[in-house]
Amino acid sequence: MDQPSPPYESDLVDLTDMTLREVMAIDDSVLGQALRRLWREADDPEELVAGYTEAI
Amino acid sequence: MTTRIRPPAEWPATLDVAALAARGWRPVPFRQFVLKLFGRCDLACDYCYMFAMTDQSWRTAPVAMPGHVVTAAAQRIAAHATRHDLRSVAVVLHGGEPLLAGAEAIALIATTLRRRLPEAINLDLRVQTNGTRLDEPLLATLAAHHIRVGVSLDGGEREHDRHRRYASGRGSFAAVRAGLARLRAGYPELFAGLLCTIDVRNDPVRTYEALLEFAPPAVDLLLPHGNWSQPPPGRSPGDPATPYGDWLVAVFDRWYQAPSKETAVRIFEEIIHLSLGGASRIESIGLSPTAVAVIATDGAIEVLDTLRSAHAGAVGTGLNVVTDELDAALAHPGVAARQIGRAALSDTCLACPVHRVCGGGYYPHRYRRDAGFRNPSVYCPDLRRLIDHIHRRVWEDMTANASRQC
Repeated sequence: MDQPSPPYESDLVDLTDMTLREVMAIDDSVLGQALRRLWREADDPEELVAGYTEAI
Repeated sequence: MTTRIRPPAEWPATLDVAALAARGWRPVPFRQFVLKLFGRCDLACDYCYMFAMTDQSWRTAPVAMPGHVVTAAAQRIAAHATRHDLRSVAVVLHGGEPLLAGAEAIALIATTLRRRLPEAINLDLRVQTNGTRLDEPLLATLAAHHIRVGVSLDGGEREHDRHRRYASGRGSFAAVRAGLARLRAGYPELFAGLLCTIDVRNDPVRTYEALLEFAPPAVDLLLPHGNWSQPPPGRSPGDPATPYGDWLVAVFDRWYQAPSKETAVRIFEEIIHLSLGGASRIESIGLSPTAVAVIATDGAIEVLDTLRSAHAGAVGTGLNVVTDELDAALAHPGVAARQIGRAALSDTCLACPVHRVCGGGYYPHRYRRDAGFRNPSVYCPDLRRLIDHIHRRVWEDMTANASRQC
């Protein structure tokens, strides 16, 4: 059932060396909030599931 | 009305869930429950998957969810949540138009749910409405029971009234605008956001800015339902043109470039999150297992109500909350197919470099008659266009940020 996956090469900058302080200092732009979400979910990795599209 | 009998070979009818389980796969418990409170609507939107597409079973379904079904649904949700040790569950009151059930019925459902659920389990209760019935008594009821409100709105008056009309032909924008005004003025904490169905004939930025006039905390931009056998408007299956991708890119740029975030745009935020290595929280993008159960007005447990856009009978599991536990639905091929991630994707999708972000797109949009759901999305070129664009924008910003910090 499971098939080999082509390597997904990410061109994104490696965030490993960014400290939490640096992340939190990023402005209130979309990207800033996106990075903070990434850190939040890394800290609290409750099982991530997909929700219903036809409601908000 | 003729019901086409679906060939047995349409995937996922051939998905061997028992074999998956034998190899160690385990289903993810449901977290979100869509209760079809009312099976009719006071609008006649021409793109509606419930009433205007292939599946016309609504004609013989109960108009309103009867009391014994409400009780059974609440019992089953509580049992499921307890069995799986869930910290929280989400319930969406839906339809048709759920507010047609009336304030009393809504209050009863909310009370029943809270009474049945153990106190330790948090309940997120919402309603998704066409917005035409948000009067003061209903709003007061929603507030009393802590029910957040999502409203369907397709833009300004011109954009919205293209499709969201009463059966008489009259547009509904004026009524929705008035309802939103009452909601925002009296109960701003209840306002969850706006759902907008895309029409590529509408100017994208103008549409988005019309939504912003209501200061929504969140919006989502939905692709109209269609598939390879019944294509959506403006999409020819297999055509590499990207009308919807272009439309979404225009909105993305307008949204992303704002000095500070004006609203959350769910589809964009999920693609950004996926591009940064995260997992999606919405079933229209990404590979996260879908943890949604839909309960129809008669108590039937459905695979997913939007599958009505594919073919008649696509939603059925043969299960009902009156007689069956929700766990039984987790073993249904149609449910499992939306929880197995990459294993549900076609070879075409697996060969695509963005398949972990795209996830094959929204499941109903993959349908092809006589083949089933193991196909790319009919919107594949549009999704690729949007994902590549977002990936590039985020990469540029991340590179610029990293340079500033050196």
